[in-house]
Amino acid sequence: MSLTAQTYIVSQFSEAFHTSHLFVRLHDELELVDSITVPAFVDRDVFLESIRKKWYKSGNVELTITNRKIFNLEFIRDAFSHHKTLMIDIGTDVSSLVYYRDGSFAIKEEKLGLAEGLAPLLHSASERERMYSYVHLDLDRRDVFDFLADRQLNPARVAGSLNERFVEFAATTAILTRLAQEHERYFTVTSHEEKKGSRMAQSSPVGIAVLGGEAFWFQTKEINVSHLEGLALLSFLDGANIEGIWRIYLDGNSLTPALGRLKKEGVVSAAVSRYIQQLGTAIVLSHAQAEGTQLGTLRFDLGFHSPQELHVVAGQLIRLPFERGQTGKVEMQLHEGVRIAGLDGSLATPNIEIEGGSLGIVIDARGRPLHSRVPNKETRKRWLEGVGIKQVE
Amino acid sequence: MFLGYARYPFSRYTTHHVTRSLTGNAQVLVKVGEEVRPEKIVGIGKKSAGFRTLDAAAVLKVPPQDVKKYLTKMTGSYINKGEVIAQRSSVLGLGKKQIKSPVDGVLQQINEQTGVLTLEYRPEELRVVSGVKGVVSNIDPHKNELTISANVIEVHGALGIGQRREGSIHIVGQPDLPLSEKQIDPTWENKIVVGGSLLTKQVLYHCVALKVQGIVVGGIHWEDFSTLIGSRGRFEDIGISVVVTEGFGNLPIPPKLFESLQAYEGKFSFIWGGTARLLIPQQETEGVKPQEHVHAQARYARLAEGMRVRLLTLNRRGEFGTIRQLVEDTYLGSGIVAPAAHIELYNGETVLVPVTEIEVIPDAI
Repeated sequence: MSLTAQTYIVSQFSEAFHTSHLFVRLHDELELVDSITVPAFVDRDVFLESIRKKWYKSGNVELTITNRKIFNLEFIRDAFSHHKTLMIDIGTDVSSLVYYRDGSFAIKEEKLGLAEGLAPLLHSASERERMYSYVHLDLDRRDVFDFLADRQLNPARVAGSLNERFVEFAATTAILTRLAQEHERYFTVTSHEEKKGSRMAQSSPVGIAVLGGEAFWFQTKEINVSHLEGLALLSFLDGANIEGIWRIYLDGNSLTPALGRLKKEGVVSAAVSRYIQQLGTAIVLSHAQAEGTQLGTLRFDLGFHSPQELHVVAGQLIRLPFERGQTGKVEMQLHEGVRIAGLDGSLATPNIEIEGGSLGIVIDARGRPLHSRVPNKETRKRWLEGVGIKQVE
Repeated sequence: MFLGYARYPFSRYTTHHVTRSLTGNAQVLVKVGEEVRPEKIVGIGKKSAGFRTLDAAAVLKVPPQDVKKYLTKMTGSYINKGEVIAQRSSVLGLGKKQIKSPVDGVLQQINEQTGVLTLEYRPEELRVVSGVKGVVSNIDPHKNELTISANVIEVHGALGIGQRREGSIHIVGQPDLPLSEKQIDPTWENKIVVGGSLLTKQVLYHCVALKVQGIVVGGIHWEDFSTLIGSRGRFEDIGISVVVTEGFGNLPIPPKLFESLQAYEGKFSFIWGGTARLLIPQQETEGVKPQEHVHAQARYARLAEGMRVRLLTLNRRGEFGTIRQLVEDTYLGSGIVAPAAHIELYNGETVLVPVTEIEVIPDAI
């Protein structure tokens, strides 16, 4: 058996950034050795020449990604082949949705993004109003929109402060809102077919969402920045206005297209657990009850000494720590008028398997639809704490 | 190697093709290849002042088709106010009916079916000056346009809005203070005003009412800018042309750029907001300047310690500072690891900023 390691340089280019990753494959193990990202004002050929010099090794295989969404599909087909999966890639000028389930898939693209792609939202007064409501900090709205609009002039931006990150995520949430409005069917845990045939046996009620693209960059291999993960989850919960139970993953280094590209080379299965951050499981209760109303009880069997019971109240957004790699079950006893999308019946539900992650289990009892509510300062603070963000600038 | 955004707010002398338009049945006074000075009259256009009609059949009391017989002037001829243009004597010659022209103009036509005369007011002559020192490179008689190749200084802004306009440069206020309505006065009429760190909609509307031709300013808030853009985007004619030199927000015009523009106070210039450019023709006193190529509009610069930059951050936006240290792969407050720079601001404070959140400001010419 050969012990020779094979190296791969996988490069991708967007309107704002050039990125290259260096992988080493030894047997069936794939290791990410290094990543380089530069603004796109650097000539592409100059960039490629510089990384060839830096990572030179005889026999390097150089691969280029010309269409991110196609390789995102390859990635999720391999990584989550038995689940309903939605991959959302929000870039600087375009965003894409890739949906996969049981062999069928859909790919959608919209001219929305964090730089030039923000123009459609920035030009609309109502969209700006909505975006500003997602900021979750007390910032001058002129500063917020000047900062975001400037990205159309200088797109290759990296947030330096937490406040800037909050503003970026407000824009990301607004983009997700628009994507969910345009492509609603892909943001539901119940498939179109299941809705049509009510007598059909339900497949797993848990959906999988993978968040990636420049909007979700952390650009660090040590993904241990919980406030950013919390912001990413909150932007998905608020923007996509999702319902039901979702396992959520975060690609903070724009690796999914590269992993999908390598899969096409017949290298290895996508290394999900190593390179894609699992945030955990979000349980979203659908209801229209007034804040403070009892909604029901969730009973968690997480492998502890005894099951944990949680009495859920309308308006809550709470988090139970539950580590990555851990699995458990949840049983729900919900009151009249409260349901979990994708599950049959409202009073008792079977045990649902859930998985942990860096954020654990997040229960969203704020009700649906969310968009009509503009939170006050106290509520915003509660929501941020509910996704693990305790302190802001 | 650290790279960061740079924007060159102006170029050295370049050749620009200035178009001068003539109206009506114009007379061109120059030829291709001829050198012209700014004050040279290159053509005389004619602008119609309007028309007037006279019911000659009713005045002369004749059938419409007979009016022609009583005209004393031919159609197309010039007529003066008070001049007789039609006359009919009575049968025995004892009386006559006359039509005298009420205006100076041209007897345009007679409608033989209605007996109505159309008089065109004498067209207004519009003398068009070159405005620049250059060489006539093209004359298009169909479009009534002529093109003059001239050396100009191009001032490139970050963004702008509006169509091509022209006027004399008028420096107003300070480069680092917002323009205010109190500053506006009648001397701004027909001028291109330069100055200020921020243009608001109130000031802009006031300038439009005063027939200011253009404004060159440091910044504008996005929410104001977005309300000005119509279906034609940045080429929308909003009654004025605006060039924003720095971008969105309250952003001072760089001191050296402002100083350079002050030297052109009173000089005739062209402004085109849609392409964010101010074009200042080469002046007589500047002598012969060698033709220099326009800088390729490089969007980035190699960063170095000691370089003067401007922050693009959320807070401190537009503040100037100096790079004191460049650091690789630094953990930032946002949770991201990226190349960054320690920037010393004018107040002595030092901030750590990703290199993509600064913009290099090159020195003026």
